[in-house]
Amino acid sequence: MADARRANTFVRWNRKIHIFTGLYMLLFLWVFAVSGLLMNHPDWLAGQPHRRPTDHLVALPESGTNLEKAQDIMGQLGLRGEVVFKGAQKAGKFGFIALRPNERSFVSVDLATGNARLLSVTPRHPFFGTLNELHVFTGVRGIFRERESVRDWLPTMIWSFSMDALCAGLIVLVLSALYMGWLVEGRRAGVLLSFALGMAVFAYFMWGQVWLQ
Amino acid sequence: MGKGFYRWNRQLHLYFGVFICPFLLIFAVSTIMLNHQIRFTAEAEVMPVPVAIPEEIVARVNDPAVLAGMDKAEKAAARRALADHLLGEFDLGGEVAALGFVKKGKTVLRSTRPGQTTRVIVDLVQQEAEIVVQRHNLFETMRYLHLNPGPHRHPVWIGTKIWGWIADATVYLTLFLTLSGVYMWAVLKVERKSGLLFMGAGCVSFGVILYALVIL
Repeated sequence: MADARRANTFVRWNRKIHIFTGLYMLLFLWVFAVSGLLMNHPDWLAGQPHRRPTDHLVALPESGTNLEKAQDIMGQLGLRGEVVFKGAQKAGKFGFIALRPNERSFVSVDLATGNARLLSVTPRHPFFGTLNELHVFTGVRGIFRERESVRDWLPTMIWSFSMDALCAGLIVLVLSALYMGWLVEGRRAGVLLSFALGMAVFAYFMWGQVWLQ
Repeated sequence: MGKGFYRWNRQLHLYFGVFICPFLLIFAVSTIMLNHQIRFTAEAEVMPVPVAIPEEIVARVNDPAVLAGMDKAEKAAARRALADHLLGEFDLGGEVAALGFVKKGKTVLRSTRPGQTTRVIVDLVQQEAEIVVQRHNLFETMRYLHLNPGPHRHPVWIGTKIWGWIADATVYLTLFLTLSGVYMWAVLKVERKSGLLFMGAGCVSFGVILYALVIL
């Protein structure tokens, strides 16, 4: 009796968790689903981004780490975002990129004159371009070949945490769905068939293309 | 619209949902890897093999005296001829990158497929090649599938193209599942208030983060 009650409670909570996790993650899922589709079809949003170069005079801080210097210069230029150092610094220059999902600001300061060349790059299609950037925002740092890769902007850290939470939520959704599917009266054969079909395709792409070559 | 629609919607939600579970897991696990730059390096198996490349092909990509008399288009054609010849020599399969660029008398062919990367390093002067095969683990394969086809990779191999269609189908099914799920929740009166609370909390947290990232 007690076991049956415990099982019922688990079934009820599993269902609630499935519904509420799904509802909480709705917007996040849509962002990643739509931007994932756009990633697979780059020709849908073809075209070069907008590039706007401007020149400014800045005072380069004499002390501090490169990150602190970059953040100081960003303050002078009115920029905000995640700081990325692309490769090694060029002789006589101090350069970095300030990243935000809707704008990439390439800054190069001439150490002799204090002239800062700011190249602002914004997506050609602001809405969908920003969606795409949200998709890759915390995962693209590898392409810049940084010597050290440290997240330095609070919104990026929060977005990164959200992505982890979304993935954990997705795994919860999947497991709770499988459990519910298993329990549906009279549909077990169909559920098993769907799952087996999904697993067969999954296995083909995970291992089959190496085994069957 | 009525009971029939609800029943169909529920069944499709169930069967499609169960079908795409493994693909959602691929994307969830690989996203965590990408988010934290987690990589697993596979050991490489190296196999030396002889290779025969006609002298005139080698000369047109590697002999400075011959190269000096060639224009840009001729050099590109010579590289293409080398790549085509080598692709004929090695039956690589998979998504192949062979550009025919020669550096210090060597050129590299690269073939990728889920779970395996193969590089063929060809020494044009010695007429020999090293086949370097790396077999990747489950997680690296998931990462590969997450990134391919991708915005910067135009798929050529049928395997990548089919995976691209499956990735698209996963997106369409995910959109369907969210909409059909919202519909079923909306019909359920019992969970409406708490559901609204969760959906509202999700929208607010998304909005706040987006505001901080884009506008603030």
